Amino acid sequence: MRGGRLASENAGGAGHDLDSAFRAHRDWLVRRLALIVGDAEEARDLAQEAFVRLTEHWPLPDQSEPARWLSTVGVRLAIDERRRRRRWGFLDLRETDATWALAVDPDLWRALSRLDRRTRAAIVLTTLDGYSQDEVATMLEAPRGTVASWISRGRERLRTELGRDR
Amino acid sequence: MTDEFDVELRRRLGGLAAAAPVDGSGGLARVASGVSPGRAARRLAPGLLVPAVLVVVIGGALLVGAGQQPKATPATSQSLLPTRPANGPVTTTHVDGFFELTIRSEHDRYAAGDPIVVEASLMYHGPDATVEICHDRGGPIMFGIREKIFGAIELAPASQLMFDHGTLTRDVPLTKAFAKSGGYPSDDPAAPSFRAFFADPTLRLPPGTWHVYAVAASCSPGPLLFELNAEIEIVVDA
Repeated sequence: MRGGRLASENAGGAGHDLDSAFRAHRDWLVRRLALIVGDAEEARDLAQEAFVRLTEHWPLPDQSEPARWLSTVGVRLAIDERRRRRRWGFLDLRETDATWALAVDPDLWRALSRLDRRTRAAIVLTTLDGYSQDEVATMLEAPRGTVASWISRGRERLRTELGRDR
Repeated sequence: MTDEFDVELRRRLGGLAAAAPVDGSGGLARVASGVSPGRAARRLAPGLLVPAVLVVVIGGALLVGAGQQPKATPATSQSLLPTRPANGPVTTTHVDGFFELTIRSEHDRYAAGDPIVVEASLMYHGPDATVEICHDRGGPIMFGIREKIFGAIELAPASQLMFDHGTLTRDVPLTKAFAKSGGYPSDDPAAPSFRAFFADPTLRLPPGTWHVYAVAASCSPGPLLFELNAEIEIVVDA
């Protein structure tokens, strides 16, 4: 699938108005980022920052879909180690509230939590959002082969840990 | 290659995503600027062993005006959109042992083409009245800039391998204004842009969100006293 399932779903409703884009895209962006960073609070913070960047780059170039643009910026922010350290580096220990995830699918949540953020991002973007590996490679600024390797290894770990090893 | 597992994984990922709470107690206030206390995020190799010069260019052009983004539409008073805080001073300090590196700018927002004024200070707070430090030819403090999210540019600090020595007096800052350093291949398609960028000693950046950082490290063969990296975020508006 090209362009991403969610990008396609959301692009139509967003129009070219910035506030409309915020209303159309904010919640799913938080949800996607929550899967990637494993923390809803951090996901909300990342989504906020992504929208700040969006206001600074609005209107987007003609070919840019807000959903794809926001996914790219949100995921890059999520895997930016420097940013993470700026925010959390001075804390020795931080607990995340994963009650919401453990109530829905604890096995998948725990399996996801054992993957690194880049792998989680690649799996979410391809499996859930329908982006191609080439598109994800562009979004994550990584070689396509590297992304393919992350996805392959990540899927196998998930398959094993979810009891689907066959 | 979609198989049964992929279908199930997609369904379960969708279920997890749908459960994520999108409205926390923080609401839609604003995003914090880069004013939080800093920690070393980038380690500078002791001695900064960079022969001659080094620039990491990931793409894009440095010249202000090149690749400018359109102006952002101002949010209305009814808007839910998050905004950045007021254009105030921005400072970050990194402490390593008795040494402290602070980078600051009077503003965290600039207009494209405006001079961006940044300086950094290195201080010693140890038990001795003075301390000898070793550094390379670029001085004890060097600067870099990067734009991480859009992968535009990174200029890594660089200097010639010349071991110089200096003295820091306790509680007296050694301050240095932002200075460009780096280099580029002469056959780089962007070489004219880099020549123009380095010909102007004033820092001017294209629109975007930039991280400007200072690094300081005592170099070998002397004792490794400190490794410091302090970074601020600067927004350049179109």
